[in-house]
This record gives sequence, structure tokens and C-alpha cells, in this order.
Amino acid sequence: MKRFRCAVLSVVKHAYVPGGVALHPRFELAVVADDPGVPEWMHERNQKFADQYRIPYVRSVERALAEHDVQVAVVSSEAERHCDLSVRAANRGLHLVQDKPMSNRLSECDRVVEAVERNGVKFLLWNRNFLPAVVHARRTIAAGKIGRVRAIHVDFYFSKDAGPPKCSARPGDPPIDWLEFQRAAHRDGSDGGLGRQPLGELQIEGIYPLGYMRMLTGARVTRVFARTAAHFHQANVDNHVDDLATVTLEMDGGISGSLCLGRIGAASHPDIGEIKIHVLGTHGALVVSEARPEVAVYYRGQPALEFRHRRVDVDNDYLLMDDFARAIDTGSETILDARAGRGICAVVQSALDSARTGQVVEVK
Amino acid sequence: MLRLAFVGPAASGLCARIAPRLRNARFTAVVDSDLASGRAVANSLGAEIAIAGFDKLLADRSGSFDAVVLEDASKHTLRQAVRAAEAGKHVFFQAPLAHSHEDAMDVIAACSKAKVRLMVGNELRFAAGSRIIKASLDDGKLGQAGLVRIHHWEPRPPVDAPPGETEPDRDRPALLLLRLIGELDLACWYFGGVPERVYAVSGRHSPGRASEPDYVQVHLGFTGDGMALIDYCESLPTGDRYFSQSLIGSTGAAYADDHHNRQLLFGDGCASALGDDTRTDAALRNLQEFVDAVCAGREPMITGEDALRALDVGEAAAAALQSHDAVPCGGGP
Repeated sequence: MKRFRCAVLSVVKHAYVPGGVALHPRFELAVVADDPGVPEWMHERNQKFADQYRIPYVRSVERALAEHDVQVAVVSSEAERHCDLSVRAANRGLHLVQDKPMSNRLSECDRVVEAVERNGVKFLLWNRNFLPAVVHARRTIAAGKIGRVRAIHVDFYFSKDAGPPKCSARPGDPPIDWLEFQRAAHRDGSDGGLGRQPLGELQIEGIYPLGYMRMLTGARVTRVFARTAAHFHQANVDNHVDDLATVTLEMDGGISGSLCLGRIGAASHPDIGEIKIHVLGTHGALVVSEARPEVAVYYRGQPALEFRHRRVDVDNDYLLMDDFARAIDTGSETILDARAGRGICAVVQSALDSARTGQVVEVK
Repeated sequence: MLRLAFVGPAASGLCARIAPRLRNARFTAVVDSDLASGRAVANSLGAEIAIAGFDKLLADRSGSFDAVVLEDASKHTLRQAVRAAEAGKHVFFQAPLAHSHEDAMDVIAACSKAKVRLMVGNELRFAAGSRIIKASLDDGKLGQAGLVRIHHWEPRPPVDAPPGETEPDRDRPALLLLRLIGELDLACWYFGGVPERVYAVSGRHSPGRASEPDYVQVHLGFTGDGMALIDYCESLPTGDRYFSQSLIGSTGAAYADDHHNRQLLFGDGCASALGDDTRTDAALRNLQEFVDAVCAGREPMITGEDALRALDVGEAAAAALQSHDAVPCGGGP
């Protein structure tokens, strides 16, 4: 079986995407690269990751792609640079694995779709569609156990804190600087919103539940109505981005859907969060807890932040990369390709427009 | 001891289960157009009187009861409620109070004029999950309510089920919305007010005409940060219902979920999930609150105004279904 050498293009936030890629035996991390003009702290993070994997760090994306015989680019930069790095790699004929969110701008997603299709390369937007509970749901639906899907609802509450709580600012305090705040969040891996432009949780995490909906229904979202709020965290209040959102979705074929999503704070759930999928079909229904299977462990002196319930049988990273390899081998599409990722970004953008205007918005 | 007249025939089985456990009240009369059926219900409730018509009850046995328990929102029942109030009887009405704001106003006005108590019962408010969520909210444990999520799924009605009363000016989606009036009331109760913006979609899940939806979902936006999403269907296969609710507050969250509260049965074929009967306790508390309010001479926990509020939200949702757009509610933009 052919092995693929991978260039990690910027790894300035959580490193779980390139780390996940490296888990699959057909993919080998060969080099880390970034643009020379990025801030020094980014170079330091890139260098640290390269050192960890004992691979070189090159301060030029183009030079790294030209000199290191790579076939795959793994993009894990700030969200606003995701698509530009992907387009540059696609134009050199590299297949792409990109961290979420696809972008903070729909026009950037369009650039990726165009570049991927013009260059005939494969694109995988990182997702959780291979978590065991989600795979189980997919198989159950595919087997016709509940008939045709007519409605799908996802609750996606994750219980990490994100800095000081709402209303904790004292009079005269300056607003929390988004980039500095996200940089500081790097130590516990909760820096998914890293970048200059503040991102709400719908933008950062919406890909996951919307990815479930897309996979389980096979339907395109056509209209949305949404409400959003900065309900929990001062950083979100100060930067005018949501940490709680609800979205009604209307899909092709008359399928209805809804999404409840929030970074609800560590006090609000004993584990990583309440994440559930409810599916109604023509002949039955399915209720799935995304966290299961799990094993519960409790003991005297247990640290407060240690998860009591540990997910087991999680093979998402390997299965994502296996799917990616299969797509390259056979020419098929990945489980979340560029067009699908763009579609999800469009849903999120439309939802934010709806929340701002109070109107139902057509998804384009 | 408050004496109750049960105007059937709906849910008489549930009433029979709770009747022996009511404090400071008992059933004394049952009205049923089918007198044989009425006698059986009266027997199950421990009531002495079974009578074929409400008019006859008022004319001949008015001294035998202090309050009426009414169980549906048909025009006929509304007239009975007004007449009961005019006769000085307290009124317990299972939600929805009416099919429209105007009809509800008639009952509220009649009860107000006669100075009798009106309670519009909603078992959902008395379910264990709801009571604990509301108490946690009121105690400040959950902070400011941000999001209420409710899934309520019922089995599809039997094919030979008798049709409910329909009115020519109400379409099927609007009638379906009346079935989740309890959930709308629950959301308003948690948030302490009326949403400012409402959107809704509906659909047909089980085989049947698309113009006769068996599914509806309602999206509420409250002033400030509050929001609610409620979905309701009548398309499950024969068997259990499913109910799940969660409330996400600014400092905590509560989850009351049938999924968590099922037991497993391994029999033939796949394992089955078994739920418990939680309706009896909620129904008992629902009616007991009415009895306690009347006996104490206070307003019941769910007033006519509360019912009107939920009806208004339902009407906004119906307007959203018609217009395919979000609509204002309660003076919202």
C-alpha cells in the first residue's frame, strides 16, 4: 500500500489534527512549514511540534512543499488562514486534510472548492463522523430500521469553560483581547477559535453536529432560523460572539432539523458535555448518546477536572484517515469533502445572519 | 372537602388512578352522554352520581358539587365551563384552555365575573423533571435560563381512533400545535415571560397526506438571551412515548431525559428499553394544586392568563407555519 508523506502547514493551535493523521500507518508526517512573516510565537509552536515528531520545521510553505516530496498537506493554522494554505497546497497537487472550521469567510471556502476540483485532489475537513455512536446511528438508519429520515435534532453542549464567566468584568476593565485569550487557552487545547477575528461557538464547533446531520440525512440545508447569545463567558461578551445557539434547519426533501449548541461551562455537566442525536423516521426513531460507549471511574481524591466517564472504542482519527486514504486510492469522495464543508460553512453563516436579523434566511 | 364533577369521557382511567389519592377532595358526579359508560366511570371514581348531560347536572344536582373537571377544549366544553362558572362552580380545565385567544377570554371572563377559581392544568409542569428544573432555577442554582430543549414524541394514533372535534376555521397544523400547548406553557414558565419571536415548521412523517402533519417543531426567542426549541410528533410505532427536556442556564444545567431513565429488557430479538409510568404522579399533583388553591382561597399555580399566554405563542407558531417566516409575539419586533 502506498504511503503518503505529509506537510503540516502551520500547527499553531491544538495539534490533534496532525496528531490524528500520524496515527494511521499510511501517513507519515515529513515536515512542518509556515509562512516566514507569521509572529514569532507561531514559529515557536510550529518548531515545538516539529521537535516532538523529530521532523524539520521550514519557515516557508512553498519551499517545504517543493523540497520534501510530500503528497498531503495537513492544515491547522488559525481559521482565517485555513483556506489560503489549502489553496496553495492544492495548486501544487497535494491532497488536503484541514482542521475546522473550514473558514470564517464563505468566499474562502469557495476558493478551496475551486482549487480542489481544478487540481483533482482530495479534501477532508476534520470531523467526528466516525465516533462509535455516530457510526452506529448511520448503520441503523442505512439498514432501514426507522424508515426514511424525516427529522433530526442534535444537542451539542460541551462543558469546557472559556475564561472568566459572563458579568465578571469590573467597571473600567478593558475588553478581553480575543487573540491573546485564545493563545492562553492553548495549554489545555481549547483554542479552537484561535485567530485575529473572534469566532462564536457556532462557527468553531458547528461543523460537528452539522456534519452528523449531513451524513445521517444526506440532505442539503436550504433555510435556517437561529437565535444566538453570549450567555456564559466574558470573552464572548466582550468580542460579540456567541457561546449558545439554536438553529432550526429546513432541508431538501422536507426533512426538518434543529441544533442546540453551546459551550455551557464545566459546572454544567460532569463530563465533556451532553451530546445527543435524535432522529425521527417514517417508521421509528433513534436516540443516540454521542459519548457512549463509556466507562465510569470514580475514586477518592479524584481531581475535579478529571472526566469521570471515559469514552471507549473511539477510533475516529484512524477511521477518518482510512477514509481519506480510500478516497485517494479509489477516486471516491471523503466523508466530508470540500463541497460539504463549504455547505456547512454556508449554513453557519446563514444562521448567524438569521440571529442578527431575526428572519428566516435562505442558505446559498 | 371539595366536591368535583368529572365531565368525561377523556382520560377517565387516569382520573380513576388519582381519585383515591386526592386530599381534601372527592368526585361526586360524572357526566357522560353514554350513561352506561358514565356509571362505570362514576364507580371507578367513587362518585355517587352518573348523569347523561351537563345541563341536567346543573339543573337537577347543582348542590352535589363545587367544581368541575373538564378535559378538552372543544366549543361544547367551553360553553360548559362558562355555564359552570355562572353557576358559581370552580373550573379545572386540562390544557389547552381553548382553540383560540377569543374563546379562552370567554372562559376567563366568566370565571372572573363569577369570582370562581380557574386553573388550566398542565401535567408537564408537575412532572418530576419539570418541578426539579424549576426549583433549581428559582433557587438560583442554574443562573439565568438560556436554553430550553424539549423532545416529545407520541405513538401514532390508531387508524380507527375517533376523530377529535375539528373546527372549520382551524387547519390541521394549528390543531397539532394545540397538542404541544403544555410544552409552550412550560417554556414560558421557565423563562417567566412570552417569547418575542416565534418560528415553526411541520411535516408528515408516517404514511398519510402531507396536508395532515403529524410533526411540528417550534423555535422561541425570548427577550435577552433566552431561546427554546420544542419538537412534537405523533408518528412513533405503537408503544411508549418519549419525553426529554433540558434547561441550560448561565451557571448550571439540568437534564430530564427518558433516554437516561429506561430499563433494559432482554426478550425475543433486540433488547427493549422500558420506561416507568410517571404520568399518574404528575396528573395527581396537577389536580391537587387546583383543589389546594380552591380550599386556600388563592390563585392556582396555572391561571387563565398563563393559558392565554401559551395560546398566544401557539397562535404565533401557527402564523409562522402559514407564512413560512418568523413572526413577532408578545409585542416583540
